[in-house]
Amino acid sequence: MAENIITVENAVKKFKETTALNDVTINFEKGKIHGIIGRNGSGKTVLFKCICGFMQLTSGQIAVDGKIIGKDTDVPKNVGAIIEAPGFLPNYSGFRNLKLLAVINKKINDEKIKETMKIVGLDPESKKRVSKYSLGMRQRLGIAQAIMENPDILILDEPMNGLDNKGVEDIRKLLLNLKDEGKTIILASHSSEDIELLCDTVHEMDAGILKTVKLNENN
Amino acid sequence: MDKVKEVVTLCNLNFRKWFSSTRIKIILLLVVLLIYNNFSGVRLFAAAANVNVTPWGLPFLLSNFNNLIIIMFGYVFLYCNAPFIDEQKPYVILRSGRKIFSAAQILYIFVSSLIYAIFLAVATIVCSLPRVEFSPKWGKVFKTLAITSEGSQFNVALPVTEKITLNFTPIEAMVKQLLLLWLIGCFLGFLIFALNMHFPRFVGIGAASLFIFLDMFADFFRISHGFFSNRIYSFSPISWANLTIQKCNPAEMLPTFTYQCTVLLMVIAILVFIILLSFRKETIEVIPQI
Repeated sequence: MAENIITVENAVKKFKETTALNDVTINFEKGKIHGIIGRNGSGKTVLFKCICGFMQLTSGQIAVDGKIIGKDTDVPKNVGAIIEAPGFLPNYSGFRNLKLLAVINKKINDEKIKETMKIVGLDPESKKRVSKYSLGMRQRLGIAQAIMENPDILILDEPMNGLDNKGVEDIRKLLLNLKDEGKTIILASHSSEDIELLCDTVHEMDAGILKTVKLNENN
Repeated sequence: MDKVKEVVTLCNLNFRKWFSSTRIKIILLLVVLLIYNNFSGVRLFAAAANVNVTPWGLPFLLSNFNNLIIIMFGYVFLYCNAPFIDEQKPYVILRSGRKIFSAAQILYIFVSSLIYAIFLAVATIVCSLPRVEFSPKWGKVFKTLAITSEGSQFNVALPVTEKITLNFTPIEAMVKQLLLLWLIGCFLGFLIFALNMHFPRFVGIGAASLFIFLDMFADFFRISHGFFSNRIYSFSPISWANLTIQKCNPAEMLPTFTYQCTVLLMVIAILVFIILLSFRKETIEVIPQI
């Protein structure tokens, strides 16, 4: 039987007059890529922030790997994420930026950081400051920070933003490889091609209401 | 032990951002200019008298309310971005958890407030160069400026007051001054932090500014209402950075050093408690950094 790694039950998030999440219930199965589509402001990012523990739900609950966010744990363990624009120290190189994040948990060494940078197509030996990076390079660095500690769950909000065609192709391959390794990926994208090629399940968010669009048998 | 290291690591992350922060550079530059201006007359006076200045000028600098206000606004600008959640921090919180992160921000305020206070003390010494002489006494320059009007010939802007030279030894004055500056900086930082978590940033900055202007109001109130109005200083924590507003003899209706430290420590403890409690549930919102 398929195992659900993230369960969202009757999630409601209200901001004064606006309801960003309106009774959302969904289970994300382990080891698959789940696509979330929807217009800007439909509630995708709010859902991601709630899963990451950055926002508290008004009602309902979210459990990641069996632990209820805000009750059993404040932020989920073993999750890598890109939500909105990834931020880095502009005066530091990409490698030093990743190292600053890696020293918090001390799960990985310098070699693993360098290896991850190479995987996303960045030169780990480059002394170039992040302030000099192009949008695409910053996005690649953002993806590197999300995957470098080998988390079981990846929450990626528009990870292809700013990437050129080659970059998009690279990241698609990377995500499929990560899926093959057993990672669970939740991906928000405006690109129907990304969704079609990558996702096992697709859900559409519209004005805070989430509905399953399809279960992609091809993937 | 690992958690302590994690807190220190995250705290250090905030300090790394000082190097790329224009705001921090502007604060330090303004403060140095203020101190330089205050000490230029002292340097001229010392050169004319051919004597050296002792490095105990900080308590005098803060005994003028104009200087005090500018220096206190340094703290406000230092902490205006509290709780210091820039675009990088959500990824930090995802790794550290909320408790470690909030503890690190609290540690950052404690340490940075102390650094700012020490920076002020060091800047007063640097701005007295080259005529600086280490001595456990106030020295001829400050003693003379405190009891005579000689300073006016050299446009000495530094308000050297006899109350300080009479009632405190230099070491005692410096220790008390640094301790009070540190605690007041922490108070302002935690006040802004606690308010910024729940309200738009201008509320936190506004509340801290109100406390600073309360010092100015207290000065006007004392001048216009006389002796008993000194009691108002018991409710103006920013004024406590001025050692002339400290009870030195039983007849004065001013707050004592013990009262000042006790109140500041209690308020800081309450604010830290509120921050730790609130941060558990607060939305992690990226605040555009000033």
